[in-house]
Amino acid sequence: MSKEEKFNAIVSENSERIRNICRYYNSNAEDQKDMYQEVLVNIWKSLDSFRGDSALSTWVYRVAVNTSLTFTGKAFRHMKLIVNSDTTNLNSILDDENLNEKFAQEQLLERMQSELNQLSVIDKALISLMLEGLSMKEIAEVIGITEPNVKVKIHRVKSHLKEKLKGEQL
Amino acid sequence: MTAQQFDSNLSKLTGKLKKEDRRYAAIVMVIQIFYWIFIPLFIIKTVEQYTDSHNINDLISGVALVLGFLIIALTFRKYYKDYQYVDYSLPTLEMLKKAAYRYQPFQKRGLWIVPGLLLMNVGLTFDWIKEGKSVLDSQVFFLGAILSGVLLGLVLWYFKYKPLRDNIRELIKEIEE
Repeated sequence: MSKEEKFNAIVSENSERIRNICRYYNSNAEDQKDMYQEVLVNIWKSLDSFRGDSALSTWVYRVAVNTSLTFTGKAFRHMKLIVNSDTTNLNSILDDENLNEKFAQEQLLERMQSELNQLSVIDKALISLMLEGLSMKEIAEVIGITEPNVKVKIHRVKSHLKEKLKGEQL
Repeated sequence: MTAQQFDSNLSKLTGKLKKEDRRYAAIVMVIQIFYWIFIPLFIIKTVEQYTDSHNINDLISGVALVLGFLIIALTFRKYYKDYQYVDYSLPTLEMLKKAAYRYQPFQKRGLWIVPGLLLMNVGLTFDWIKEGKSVLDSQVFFLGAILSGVLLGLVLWYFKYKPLRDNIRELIKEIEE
């Protein structure tokens, strides 16, 4: 299989995953498109190093998350994490099954959005991967830290968010 | 975006990427031309000069300059390759650590430049001695040029790469804590 064929196969299989990561970090379509293109460029550049040691999806997420951290024109500190009410796994952030109903209330979503944007860049990356439905082990493989470390960090973020949103849920 | 539009955009992008690969290959080739064509030409010139003059200074100067050029050209080729192809598929922490290393002003691998510079210094000194100038003159000129280069490089690094490196180090710290 040529490099081009391999690239096309990876992109068509994973385009939705890449788009989702791009959507988390960019509110407007143009920026999403730019970042999407940059992820594809980085997939092309890193293609020769793909040995199949990890799952292809994990490999793609690594490229997407690493690109988001270095995305041209985006200042690290101002990088936003965008979620909306139909974001899959959104309720996993607060471990509350009934939250979908509550999120229908726009105010709460806005508050959550604002709190998510206060998170550090790395916490945003962890949350975006969690929203994608990745397991703790897969997140650990993407970020390059141990699984227990991922659990601790995500637990810390969840507790922080729960604390901040406590008043809103009452 | 429809599937057709997606395919068309993808094929346009693949075209651009292949063009980028060709551009990279062309730059590498230019560097290779430098040390596979220019350096042999310089060797021929040195041999011719020495044959005519039988002055050992010509020979030492020529050989030292050629070796110096060769070491510096090979070091820059390696640098260019590392900067051009950043591996984004590494785990985030590893990628960030590599980036922090790339953006530090002095690196271990940069030590390869030192023997190259020393050889160029030897070459230049013997060339100047041949022209009746003193060793001190050549050392003042050479060290002055190197010092100016290093200072200029540090100023550029401070404004362009240090903020980037500081951000990267913050991210590393955050991941590791």
